[in-house]
Amino acid sequence: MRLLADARDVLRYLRPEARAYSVGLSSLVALNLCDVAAPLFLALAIDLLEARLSGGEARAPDLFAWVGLNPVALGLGGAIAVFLGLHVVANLLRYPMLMFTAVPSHRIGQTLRNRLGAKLLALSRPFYDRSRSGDLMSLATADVQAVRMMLGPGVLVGTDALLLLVFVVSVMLAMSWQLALVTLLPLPLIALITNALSHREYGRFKEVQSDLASLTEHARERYAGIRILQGYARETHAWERFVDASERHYAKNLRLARVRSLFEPTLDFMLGVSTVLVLGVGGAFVLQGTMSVGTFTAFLFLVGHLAGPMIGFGWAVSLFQRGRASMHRLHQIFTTPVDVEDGSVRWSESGPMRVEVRGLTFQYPALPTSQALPTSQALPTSQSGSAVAPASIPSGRDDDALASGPPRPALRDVSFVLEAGATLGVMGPVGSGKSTLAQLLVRLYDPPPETLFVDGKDIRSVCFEDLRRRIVLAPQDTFLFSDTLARNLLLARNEGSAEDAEAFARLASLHDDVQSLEAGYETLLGERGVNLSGGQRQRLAIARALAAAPDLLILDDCLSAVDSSTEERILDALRDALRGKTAIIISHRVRAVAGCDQILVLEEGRVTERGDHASLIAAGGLYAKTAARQEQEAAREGAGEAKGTHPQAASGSPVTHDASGGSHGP
Amino acid sequence: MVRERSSAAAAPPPPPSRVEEEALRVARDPILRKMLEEERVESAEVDSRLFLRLLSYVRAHPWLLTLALTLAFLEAVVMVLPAWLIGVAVDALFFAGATGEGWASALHGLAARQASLWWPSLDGAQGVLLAFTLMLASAWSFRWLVAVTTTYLVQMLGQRVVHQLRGDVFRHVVQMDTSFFLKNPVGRLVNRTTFDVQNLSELFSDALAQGVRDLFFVAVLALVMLRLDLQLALILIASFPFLLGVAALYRRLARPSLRTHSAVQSRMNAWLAENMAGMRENQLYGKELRRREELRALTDAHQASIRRVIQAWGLVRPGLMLTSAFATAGILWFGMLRVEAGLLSVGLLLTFLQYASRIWVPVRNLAEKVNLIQTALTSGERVMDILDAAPELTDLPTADPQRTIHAGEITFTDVRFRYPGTERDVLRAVSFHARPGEMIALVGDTGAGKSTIISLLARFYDVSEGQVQIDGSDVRDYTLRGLRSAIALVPQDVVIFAESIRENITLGRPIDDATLWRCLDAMGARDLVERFPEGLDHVLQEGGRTWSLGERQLLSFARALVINPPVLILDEATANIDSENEARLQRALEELTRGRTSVVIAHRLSTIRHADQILVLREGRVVERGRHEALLESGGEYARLHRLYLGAQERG
Repeated sequence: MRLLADARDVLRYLRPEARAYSVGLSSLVALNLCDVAAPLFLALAIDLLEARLSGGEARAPDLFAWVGLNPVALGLGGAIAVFLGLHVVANLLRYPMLMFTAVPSHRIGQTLRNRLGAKLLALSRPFYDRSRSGDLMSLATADVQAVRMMLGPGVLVGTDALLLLVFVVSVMLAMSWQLALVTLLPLPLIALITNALSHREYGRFKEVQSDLASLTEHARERYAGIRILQGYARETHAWERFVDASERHYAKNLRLARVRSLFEPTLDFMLGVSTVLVLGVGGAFVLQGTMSVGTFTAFLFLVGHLAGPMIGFGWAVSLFQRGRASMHRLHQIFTTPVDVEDGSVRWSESGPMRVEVRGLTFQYPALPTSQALPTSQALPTSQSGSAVAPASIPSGRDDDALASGPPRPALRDVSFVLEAGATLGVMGPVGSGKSTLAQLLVRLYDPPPETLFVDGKDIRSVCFEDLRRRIVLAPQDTFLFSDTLARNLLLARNEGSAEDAEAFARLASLHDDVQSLEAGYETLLGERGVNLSGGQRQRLAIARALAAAPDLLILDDCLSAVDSSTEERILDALRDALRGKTAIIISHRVRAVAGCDQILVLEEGRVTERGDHASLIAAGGLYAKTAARQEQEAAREGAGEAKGTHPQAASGSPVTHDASGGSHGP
Repeated sequence: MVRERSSAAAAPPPPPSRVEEEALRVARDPILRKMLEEERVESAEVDSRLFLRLLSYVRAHPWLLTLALTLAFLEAVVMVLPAWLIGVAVDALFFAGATGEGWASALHGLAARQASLWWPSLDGAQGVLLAFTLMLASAWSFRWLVAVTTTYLVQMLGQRVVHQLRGDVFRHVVQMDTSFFLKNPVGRLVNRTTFDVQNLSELFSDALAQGVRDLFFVAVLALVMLRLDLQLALILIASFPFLLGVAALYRRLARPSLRTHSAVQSRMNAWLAENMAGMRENQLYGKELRRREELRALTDAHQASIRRVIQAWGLVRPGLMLTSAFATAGILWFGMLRVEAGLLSVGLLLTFLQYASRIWVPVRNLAEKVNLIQTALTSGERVMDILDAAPELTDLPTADPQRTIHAGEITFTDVRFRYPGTERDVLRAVSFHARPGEMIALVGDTGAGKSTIISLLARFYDVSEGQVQIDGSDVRDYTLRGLRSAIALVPQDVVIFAESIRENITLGRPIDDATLWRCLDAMGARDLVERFPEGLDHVLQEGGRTWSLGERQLLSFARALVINPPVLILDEATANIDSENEARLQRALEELTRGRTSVVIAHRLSTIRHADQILVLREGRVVERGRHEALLESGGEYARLHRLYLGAQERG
């Protein structure tokens, strides 16, 4: 049974905090007892007063006699003192009740967050290809929060409702079972209404949130394309379109407001219905003389205690419903198998690496079609007032892998041997499988067994830590963390000074760019800092990879956004730096691979040509043709400017850099 | 920030609170430190300017406002009604009509008359009870109706204001100049337009409106109580300072905790988003363990700050309820004495007891909203900063709205330019002249000043010295609208909106389909549109990401062609385009530039070959000019660049 399994899961979460919860919940029991007892003494006081006024004998509620109390002996002053005393105790107990339930529930939330974080760090590329960053973010924020709400307020309010209900109903039944039954009539209704309203509210709230995300995207797109809007003098039109979108958002908000404005008044009204019943029926009993004014008063005040549990029940039920759904989503992630499993073989040797590929055919795992394109979804966190719009997770696949059409292998029957200390060039058009090869070599994806050997070992058997220490990939577009430039560059190490970083920055022709930044190597990059241009990011990727001092360096087309003269400089520097080291240089440009000891030409996943530069030119195949075409292009390019290497990147060249800044808040 | 914060510059931010220090110690995160410092500065200054500004938005809806206020007052009145009704009923029924004189006895009389009218068969007291019960039921129903309507109207008012404000912010932002966009990243502007404005809406509907309603309630309650019984009323009124004291204590405890908590939470979420986006790098560089530690530290800080928040919260409610319990006990004690003395009826005492048990609710509402108000005020301040920023580049008063561009003759005369706030000239005495219909190609290294020239031409910046003229008039003598509607701009990064193909080409101009298809044909782009069953109405994906770069380029060419401008500015894309599209683009480009003056930052040899003039730029100067063949022959910079790359190719 699903419900039973969920209950077990909830208890498993609570177990480490069992001690805290037991303190919190016992405080709750005690304070509820006080809360329910207090109106009885109020009733007693009224009855004593009435007796004094009428000169008759006081008729205290029978309840007191049952527990062996002689209330009349207490006297008026005593009754009031006990009334006050009970309130004082109840309110003192509220503090431990909150601290020993709410605080531990947050602790459980933190545990969940950490567990999720660890799992996400362990999951491999194929998982990220099929997941959307927005969904993962909402797991870590909304779902963890929903589980926390279930375990904190859900448990607290649910227990509170249950206890109060039991206490109040028994006291009422003890005083007058007839009146009790009548006043209890609207209670189930309250629970139903609360639950229905809160469901509807939640649904509409979600709609408003997702509409806010699309409104945000609308604005982001316009601001990012401001050059076009202004250049074509279409500001007014853009404004009208935005107002339309804002109007739609307004309407959605009003829909939400309609439910919200029903909420409190309706709950108040339900409480009102109960008082009406007390007046009508209880009043009749008093008139008949079967009930004292004091008991009538006690009912009047106890009714107020009833609305609470009913509202609480409805609320707790919806908290548990949401919490359960979120718990399932979290468990799904926790139990997701890791596609690319860690190897067990430790690897302590170092030195240039030998790579051998034997008959490698590789096809990307199929993607669920609905999620073929990772879409990012803004997640406004309204509390903090700042938005966290997760950047979409860059897909590691070759461009063509995401294209529609029947799945086909990205690599087919590829074989080669790269001797230790030699360099291999891989050339081919976009989508020929070049990047796939690179990603298999760092095991972002898993090659079939016995196809890829590094230093004689099947790559699948080597543990990640050692493998990725020795093999380093500089990708086409690397990610910048919100940290200093130096630390981003020295990512492979945990510490590092500007001096350490500088040597590698020079190798990648990045040093001059860094010098032009105000804070130099201490410049903060990433979301809250400076946004580097595409070319600068690529050069940083190279420097970052070099700084890791790998035994096998793979450069995956990471000079594509660098202008030609800089590319030339970097290639020269690399030739020296890589002397005697094993390296794979992947590029669609002949110029970048020409100097390699061995060059493979890939077409549609197959090796169609291999040899060194001279022999490939002589062969007159694709390589030679590409060389000829690029030779022409280079001349043109030389006369122009490569994209994204504007020197004002720090101070910002007009608009282009900001346009790529994404929707990150400050 | 948009506006220099003079006060912030003058006074250093206040020192971190104990809660902040604790969170920082646990988190060990420099970015969190930065965030908290910024928060401190921002929350230290919130002024009445904001309130006045917001008030002017509310005043734009006088009817809604009046209606909401009237209803809120009515609501306060009906709120005190049920308890009073019950009190009167108790006196009338159980204490033999001890309702005294005034409104209570009038009500009693009314009930009695109704009872004898409707239920003459019932025994007197039973009939009166039924009448009172029905009155109570109607009072509650009426109260429900008023409360629902008021709440809805208040929300509506708030949402209307927010809708208006959102539109105003957007309109303001899109007419700002380029330097504004350099200072303010898109992400920040987006947050101001949607999230901050949204926060303001909560200030309206949840805080301000609720505050006004609670104030009305307290005022009406105080008045009613004073009329009913002066002494008991004074006991309740005397408890107010204590209630407010508890609220103030809560505010002092909760504010730093809430601020810290919200900063830690933002930081934690940003950390998660960032590390998910950078997951590949984390794994490739083996950062898993370190990242787990970082997350652990952040969650620890989160826990520490939330503990403080709960602690403050755990004090406020008991504090308020205790005060209320003492007031109730006081009412009970003094009430009893007065009842015994015959100065007060039992029913009235019951009425007061019911009031006393609810008196803390408005104060609790106020205390609960402290955080919300704070967040909203900060947001409001940020939004106002955006609205207060004035564009530095606007139409000159001398600009003639009637002046239009027809021929497209361009003249740069000794143009110098430096970016605002910098000292280095990026253009130094650039002069050139383009006759109508000519193509000028700009060539040079990164940073040579090519982009600057086209920015000045479309007046995204104003020259520092010299003059830019089109058709013989200074660009500043045209209105921005007049100038820019004669220039089609095709930037390097193609901008695609997630709208229909039609909207993307026309940008909302009313242009008929025949013209659109003619332009698409001219650009050889008909098939791009025809492959979709919806044709021109096909809605493109975000950023046009399902289209190849070449296809997006063709679309942006069509966008330029459709307005048939005398002047074209083109910044060619360099990114790798497959050879098939390359040829298509080349043909389209020839078609697009035909018959209009064009200024092109060229990356393709074929484009340059056809240019009427090539300007070779170096460090902001024109070092060579002429046609392709002539420049090659002269053996200067252009020829050197040409040779260099051919040479690089050979060396391999």
